[in-house]
Amino acid sequence: MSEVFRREHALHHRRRGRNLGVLAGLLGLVVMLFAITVVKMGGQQGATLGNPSASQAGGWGAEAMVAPFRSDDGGTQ
Amino acid sequence: MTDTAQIGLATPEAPEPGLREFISLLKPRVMSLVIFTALAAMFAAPSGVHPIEAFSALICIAVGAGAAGALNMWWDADIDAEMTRTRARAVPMGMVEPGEARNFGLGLALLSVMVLGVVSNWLAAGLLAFTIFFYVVIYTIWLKRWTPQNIVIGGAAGAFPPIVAWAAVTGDVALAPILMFLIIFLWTPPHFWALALWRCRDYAGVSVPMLPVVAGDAATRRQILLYTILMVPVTISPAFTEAGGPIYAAVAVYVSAVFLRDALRVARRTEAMAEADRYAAEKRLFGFSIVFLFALFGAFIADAALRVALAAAGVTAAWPVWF
Repeated sequence: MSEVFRREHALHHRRRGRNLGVLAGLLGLVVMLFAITVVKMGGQQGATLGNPSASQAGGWGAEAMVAPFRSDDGGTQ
Repeated sequence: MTDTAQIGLATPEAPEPGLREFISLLKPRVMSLVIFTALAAMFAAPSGVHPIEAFSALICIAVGAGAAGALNMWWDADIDAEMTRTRARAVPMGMVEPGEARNFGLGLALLSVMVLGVVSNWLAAGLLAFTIFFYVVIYTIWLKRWTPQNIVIGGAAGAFPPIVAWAAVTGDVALAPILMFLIIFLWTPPHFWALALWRCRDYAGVSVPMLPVVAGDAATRRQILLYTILMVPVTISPAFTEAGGPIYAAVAVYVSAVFLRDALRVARRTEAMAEADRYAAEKRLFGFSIVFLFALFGAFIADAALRVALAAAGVTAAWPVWF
C-alpha cells in the first residue's frame, strides 16, 4: 500500500511540474503577443535595438567608406 | 481512467515524464549557441526595431531550434541508446515516449514559425521553417546515416539562426548574415571532428558514418585543417561589412590565429601520439572552438555597442566597410 502512495506522489509531482510548465508557456505567449500588439500599435517609438551605422548614420560615419548597398531607410519591418 | 489505474500502467520503463525531461528534449546547450548567435546578428543588423520585437523573435528562433532538437531525439533514439555521449537522453532512457517527443517537437515547430511570422515577418518565419526542415529531414532523417560528410550538412542547419535573426529584424538578408552563416558552417566540421577523434569508438558501434570511422584518423586530421584554412578568411571578412568593426577585426584575427595553430597541431599528430597523451591537442581544439565562436559573436555585439556609444556621443569614426 505504501508503495502505491509513493508512486502516486511521484506521478502527481511530475504531472504538476509539467502542467505548470505548460501554464508558464501559455502565459508567456499571451504576454508576448500583448506586448507586441502594444509596440506595433504604438509605432516604433522609444528605445531601439540594432546597429545605428546604417539606420542613423552614426558610428563609422565616413560616407565614402560605407558600403554602396547600405540602407538609408533604417531597415524595413 | 483514474490516476490509480494509470499508476498501475506506469512501468519503470515508461514513467510519467516531467517538465525537466521535456526541457531536455530541446537540447538547451545547443539552444544557448543558437540564442547567442541570433542575438549577435540582431545587434549587428541595421534595424532599429523595438527590443520587445527583437526579444520575441529571439524566443521564437530558440523554440524553433529546440523543436528541431526534439525531433532529432525522436528519430535518433535508436542510435542515441548505443552511444555513451547520448544514452542518458530522455527518449533512450525511456523517460519520454518517442511519439511524445515527436508530437512535442512538431507542435513547437509549428508554433514557433507561426508566432515568428506574426511578431516579425514571414521571410524570417519561412527561413526558420526551412532551418527546422533542413535539420530534421535533410540532415537527421536522410543524410546523417548515409554520408561521412554528415557533420558538414548538420553544420549548415546550425548556421542558419543568424540569418533568421537578421531577417526577423530587417525584413531582408544581406551579406553580413551570410558570412555569419559561413563562419558557423565552416566551424562545425573541425569542432565536431576534433570531438569525434577521441569518441571514435562510440560512433563505430552505431550506424552513423562519422569521418574518423569511415575515412580514418589521418584523413580526419587533414579535413580539420582544410576546413580551418577555409574558415580563416571567412571569419575575418565580416569585419569589413556593416556588421563588423575594429573590435571584431582584432578578435577575429586573434582567435583565427589560435584556431589555426591548434588545428595545425592536430593535423601533424598521429593516432599513436594522440593516444599517448589522451588526445590532449584534440580536446584543446574542441574546447577552444567553443570559445572561438562565442568570442566572434560577442565581438559583433561589442562593435554594435561601440557604434551606439559613438553615435550617442556624436563622434564620427571612420572604419572601412568594403562589402
